[in-house]
Amino acid sequence: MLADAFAAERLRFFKARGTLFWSLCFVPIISVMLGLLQGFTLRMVNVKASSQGTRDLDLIRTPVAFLEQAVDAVSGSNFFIMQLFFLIAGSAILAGDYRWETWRFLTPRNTRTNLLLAKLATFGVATVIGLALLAVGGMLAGLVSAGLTGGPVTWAKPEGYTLTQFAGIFAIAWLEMMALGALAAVIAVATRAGLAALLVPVGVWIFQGFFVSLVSKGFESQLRPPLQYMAGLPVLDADLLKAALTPAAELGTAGPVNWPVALVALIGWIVVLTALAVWLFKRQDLTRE
Amino acid sequence: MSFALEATGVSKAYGTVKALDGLTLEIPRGGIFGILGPNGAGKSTLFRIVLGLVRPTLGETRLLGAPAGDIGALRRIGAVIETPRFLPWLTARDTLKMLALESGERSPDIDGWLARVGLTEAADRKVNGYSVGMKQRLALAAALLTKPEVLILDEPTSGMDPAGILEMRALMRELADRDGVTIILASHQLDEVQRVCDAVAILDRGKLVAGGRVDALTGINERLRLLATPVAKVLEILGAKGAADGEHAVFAAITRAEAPALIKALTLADVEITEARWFGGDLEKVFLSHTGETHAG
Repeated sequence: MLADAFAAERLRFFKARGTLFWSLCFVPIISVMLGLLQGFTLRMVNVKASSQGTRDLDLIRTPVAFLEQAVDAVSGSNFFIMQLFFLIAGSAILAGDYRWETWRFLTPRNTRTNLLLAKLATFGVATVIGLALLAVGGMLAGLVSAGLTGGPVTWAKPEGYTLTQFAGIFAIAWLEMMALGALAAVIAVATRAGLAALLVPVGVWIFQGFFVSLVSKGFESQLRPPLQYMAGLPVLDADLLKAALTPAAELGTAGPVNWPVALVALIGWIVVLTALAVWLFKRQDLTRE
Repeated sequence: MSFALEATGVSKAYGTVKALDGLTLEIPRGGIFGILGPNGAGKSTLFRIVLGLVRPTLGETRLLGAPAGDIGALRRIGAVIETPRFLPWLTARDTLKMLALESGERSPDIDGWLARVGLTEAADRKVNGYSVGMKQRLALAAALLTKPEVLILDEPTSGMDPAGILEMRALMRELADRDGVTIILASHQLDEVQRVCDAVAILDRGKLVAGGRVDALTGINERLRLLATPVAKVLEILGAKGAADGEHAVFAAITRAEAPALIKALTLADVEITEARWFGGDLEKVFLSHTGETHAG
């Protein structure tokens, strides 16, 4: 039954080309274009420096490591922008039936629990694809930039990320997106509005990030006061988990990370928010979707 | 007797507005059953409760013997309620494919149903460009996709052209008579209901105000107008049931079942009948007599 609902939800999502483009493809394309622009700019600087006889050209020829590029793409400081774009898919999946008044066709065909879980599962699939495209986009951007500047290209830095660490960071980024998606599901059911399902979760995430950055200074005091009181914040949990996977050379002065607590808290958020969304939806009168 | 739908003391209030007020109704399996009522009578609310879209404030509904919301029973029915809306980026074929998947229907005859509702040529066009009538047809195909035992239709011909309305009526009759589907039809078009329904229930302000077989309800005020000579002879045979209508016509207050005997009696009495036509007896009069207060208001 859940498999039926999941198959139906996937079919309708992957036919929505506009949503697919804006939620999953737009940012990777932009990142490749930015890589192109960056490479082109550096190349111009390079040409100008050569003509003026300047000899510090090695600074411009930045080495590119694919894994670093991919990690940066899925967990970098601009990731919250990507979250906003991912939630375009989230709001379309989770609030679309309120917008188009199509619940009346679906609720007699499957249980409400299955219908909502199928939507979240589809969002999960979309997020995996989106993150993969982001990683590929990041690597392509680096390749384009290196191609234009003549910088060296490697798979990974000697002391940098391993493939396993990248996979872990990818999984954490996905878990964080699922927590965001579960919150979007609650908002979508409670408000029946796609715009609210898009903006409220991102607002909550930005607020958390701002709050955490105010209280903490880097990762020097992992889960020691005052951060231990904020261990339940999903943004902090995701940051802690990523820090646990960060190579020592990249982490700098940070101490050991209490990652099990963060992992339990992050998964706990997904479970609790999903259960809340299902509970609300099962009690909702669909007088007008 | 097994029932397609049973409602027992069902009430539904939206704030202070009572959409249904202690409605008790039993719809038997088989044939076409009409639900009539002015706007706000509670027809759509009843359907939404039956389909599990809204919960009643009080009372209980059963669908094919199972309590409301039972997904097993819901999968044995098809429904088109209110103006159909679809995901605009999907084609008709994709829409049906998606809905079949949702129902767990492994081998739906999508092309067959598209053909049966007259959408074969538009099957691969996006629903966004469909007219209201085409959306009604698609909604019907969606409702029929899982070969339902009960079909709930709320204003199924709204937005359709005259040819489409005729096709829809024929299809309903065919589904009921050939495929054995029980059809529950809500419509404002009393003429349509009278033509296709076997029995009706009339709702007003959330309550059942009248119900029964269509011929029994309409027969109450039906009269046969005879153009015949000599009129005096006809009046003599009819007695108290006859009334002259000008010099050459008579109104006979008889039922349809009594008509053959009357014609035979008149023929034996050498009365020349040039025309016999039924007057009155339309569902509209029955409807207005039960909901007149609403309409007057």
